[in-house]
Amino acid sequence: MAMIGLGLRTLGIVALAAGLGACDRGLEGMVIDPPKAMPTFTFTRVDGSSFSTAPTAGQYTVLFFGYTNCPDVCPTTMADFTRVKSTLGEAASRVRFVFISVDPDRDTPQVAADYARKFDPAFIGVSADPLTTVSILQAYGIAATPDVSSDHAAHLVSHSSQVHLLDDQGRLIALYPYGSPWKTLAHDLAQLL
Amino acid sequence: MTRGRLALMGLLVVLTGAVTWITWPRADAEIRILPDGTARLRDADGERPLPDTVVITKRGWRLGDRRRITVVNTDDRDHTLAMLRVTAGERRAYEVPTGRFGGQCTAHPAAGALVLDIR
Repeated sequence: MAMIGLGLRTLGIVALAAGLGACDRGLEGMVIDPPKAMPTFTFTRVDGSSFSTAPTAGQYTVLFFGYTNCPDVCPTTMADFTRVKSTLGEAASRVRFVFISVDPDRDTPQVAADYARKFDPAFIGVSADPLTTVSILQAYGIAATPDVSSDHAAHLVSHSSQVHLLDDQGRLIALYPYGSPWKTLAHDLAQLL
Repeated sequence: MTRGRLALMGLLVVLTGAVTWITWPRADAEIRILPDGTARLRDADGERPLPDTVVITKRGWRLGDRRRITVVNTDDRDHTLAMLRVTAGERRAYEVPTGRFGGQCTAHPAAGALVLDIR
């Protein structure tokens, strides 16, 4: 009998270890461990004010890189942000939802800001000059390639589509691939806030 | 010790081994960065140069619905493969949720980008 008890305990420990290995600190996104400190970028807004990605105490930042002429991935992701924000309720005031354009030639700061606001008045849409944009993409490892085979006005841009979650110290803590349910991001933010 | 107890102990050892083997976190795909800076992929379909788009599916049974990617960097410089970052000489395992990741890839000298379609 004692032998059976010992065996069951051993099995339990093995199963528990396997189970613990399958979860990452309660977050459902792809956890970045250790968190990666990200450089700060500053954007000039239409009204002349600036927006900085510098960390703000007590605030998380959700970053997405896209372009306003995007027919599918970007509007889908921005619509997901709307759902996430709505789900968080009051706590959403501690989250900055930021859209950064990968297409600065067509997305002026005004166009990017208007695009983000179309989904929610609190969403921030920014666009930098082409050189700064390259630096930002490099820092975040984002790939963005214009489809030069199509005409300039309506051409598509192939770009990385994961969402980045930064903590209030400006560190990248999790990634959310395109195609993952919006509830995953909502869950993780709710856990953190 | 009686024969019955010995048999029971043997059974428990085998059962524990089986559970350990089934639940052991083995990789669904392994990406090995070679000293020349290029990379090779090993998955259920065998081994080949790292393509521009990699589809990663679950190999075998394990708890949880994440995919496990192991990156082995045998180059003497750091590499970034979309969202996977490895320092020189590092071997690192990532637990990745399903969905589509993309990004710059230093192991793709020509294309410079990699898409990981995790299913």
